[in-house]
Amino acid sequence: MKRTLVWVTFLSLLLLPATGQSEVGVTANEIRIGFYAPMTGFASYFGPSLRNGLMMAVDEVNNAGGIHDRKLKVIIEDDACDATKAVAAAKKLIVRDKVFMIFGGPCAHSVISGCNLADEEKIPLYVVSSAEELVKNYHKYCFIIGMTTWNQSRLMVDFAINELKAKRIGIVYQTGAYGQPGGEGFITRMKKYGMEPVATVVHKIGDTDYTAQVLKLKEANPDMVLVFSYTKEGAMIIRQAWEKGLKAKWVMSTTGNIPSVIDLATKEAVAGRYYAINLTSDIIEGPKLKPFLEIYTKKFPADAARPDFPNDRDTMAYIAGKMIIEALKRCGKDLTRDKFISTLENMGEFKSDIFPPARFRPNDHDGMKTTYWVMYDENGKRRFIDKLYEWNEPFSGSAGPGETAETIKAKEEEYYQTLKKK
Amino acid sequence: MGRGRIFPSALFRKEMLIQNLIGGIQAGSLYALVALGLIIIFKATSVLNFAYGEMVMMGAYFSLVFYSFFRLPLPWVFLFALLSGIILGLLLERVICQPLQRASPMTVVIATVAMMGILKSLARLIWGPGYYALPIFTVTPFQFFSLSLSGNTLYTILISVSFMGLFYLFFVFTKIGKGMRATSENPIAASLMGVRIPRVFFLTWAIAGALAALTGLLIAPLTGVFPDMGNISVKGFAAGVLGGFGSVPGGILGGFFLGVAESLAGSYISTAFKDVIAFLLLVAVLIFRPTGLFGKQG
Repeated sequence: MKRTLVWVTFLSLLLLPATGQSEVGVTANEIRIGFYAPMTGFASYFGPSLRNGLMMAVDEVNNAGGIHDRKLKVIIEDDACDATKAVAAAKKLIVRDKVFMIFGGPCAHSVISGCNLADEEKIPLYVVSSAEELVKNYHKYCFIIGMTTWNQSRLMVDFAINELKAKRIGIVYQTGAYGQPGGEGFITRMKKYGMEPVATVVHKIGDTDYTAQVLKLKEANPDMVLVFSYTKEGAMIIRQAWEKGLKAKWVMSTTGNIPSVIDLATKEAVAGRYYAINLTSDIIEGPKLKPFLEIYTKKFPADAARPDFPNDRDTMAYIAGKMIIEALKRCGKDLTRDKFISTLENMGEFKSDIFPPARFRPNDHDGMKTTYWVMYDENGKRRFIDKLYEWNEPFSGSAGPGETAETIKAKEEEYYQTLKKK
Repeated sequence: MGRGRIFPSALFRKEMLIQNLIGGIQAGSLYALVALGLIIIFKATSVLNFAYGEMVMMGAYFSLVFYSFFRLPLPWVFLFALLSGIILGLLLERVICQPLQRASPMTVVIATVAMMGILKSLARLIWGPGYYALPIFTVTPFQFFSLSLSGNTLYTILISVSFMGLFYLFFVFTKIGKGMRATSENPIAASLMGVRIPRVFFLTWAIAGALAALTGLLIAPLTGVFPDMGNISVKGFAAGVLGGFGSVPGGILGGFFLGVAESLAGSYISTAFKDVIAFLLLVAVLIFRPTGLFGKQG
């Protein structure tokens, strides 16, 4: 009897800390956040942007005393833009570092693998990415900010037709997870206006000669060309088109919104004829982003000295960090993963000085459906177009619970059919 | 009436064909330069240099430093970039070729693969992972009959073809060039005839370094400067194999052939299959003529 009592007492003592313990990754004075992005490899210009933006938000709140007496601790891992490495990094953060949540991006395959893992492990994953695959199928634990290729392609078509009065649209996209859905999105959206592209050309990442693509476009004589490619490739096509005498206007996706586009594409080729999606409430060198830029330059002088740093990704990671912090604050002292997810889904519009309103919903984890635009004027100067473009159709590209990519596609097709009948 | 309608379209087709050929020659001249650099090292030292693309990339960064940082005039940029390329070539010869002189060819190949990673990481470390523009040639188009051409295109073709010509003259008419050719044919016989083999190796790497720097300088205005730009060496390998890897003129012609084939396939078949068609041609050549189009049979 005495021996049994000793054992019961011993086991109770062992279990005692467990019963009083809070959520994984949350202690009395700390909330651990995992981070993965490409810090090395061919896409290593993304990683520092996401890290810097997040760290700006984290340092701000930590310097102000933390969240409910807890400081945020960020554990950084490298995924090298590789899905296998991303899963390994996420597993390490979950199992060894026991983080409360993970923040990551932007490579499509890395974040898709990460979201599948997040659903399995029931851990919130907040990503800055444009990969529409993330929202085409519902992921309870995955949240995305960064304007998906689905939204971008449709807003680009709307902008070209409604604002720039395009009549003959040519399209260019690169093969692969980034460009392909964008290019297909152009064709789908043009159906709304009863239009088809006058020419469709594709290219590969890393191509140097675009003669074939440009001559095909030139033959079709478009007044507007929509481009869904990476920065360098997009800029090179625009320059080579100019060299070969194609005088159309150009609308480019988010990758086209960096100041060095003009250096790669040349001033002559873009002056008065180039537009790109601008995700922030001003251009990066504009007055509204000046305070952000000043802090960034002070905090990360080496990165700020590099071409095109900071950019949309730094600001997005900063806003994403602020949004996470706001949700953590609203969760209160008794923080749990489920409570955090529910708060993110129901906290309404998140507004800031430098970013258009972002919002998650229980049936829509794509937080960003509005955008601004940037253009190069006749003198080759970057100008911000101060008009917010919102997605206001009766459907979106995101799957809610029970929805799939097929049901979304069917909804969109049905909508265009209805318009056609009208 | 009918003729009036057809004529402008036919003219445009003709213009399109010529534009395609010019674009293909421009790309092909760059592939040919890469193939040339790969072949001269291979012929002289039997080393398949997998780090050659990264030597090209370093050449582009050297040009960037002299052009954008030191703000030197263009002829000086050329000169200093080529000198830097030569120094890099010699450095690699000392690091890879000399210490591994008696190692198996596979060991040397692995060493060049390692060097590829080192140079790429070094570039990322020094200049960061982003893109830099290097607008050294004018891009303003001008009309030549019905064709629209740019300085970029013309300079790339003219400079690369001129350098190929210079290298041809060097190999055919100079004593050092003849010594290098003799070494590539039969190193032992060349050595017995008084050719100093280590000196030939040294010179070969220096020339390859200069060629790589020149290629980097010519590619940079087209693509920008970034750590992964050395991937063009894949096309250079393809051009070399297409022409026959042991033949310098074959490698050059292989480069032009590949560039033009890509351009025509992209325009007249599909832009989606531009690379596929070019590499299908390569496979076909290898099946029906395994030594390449201009390689020696047997």
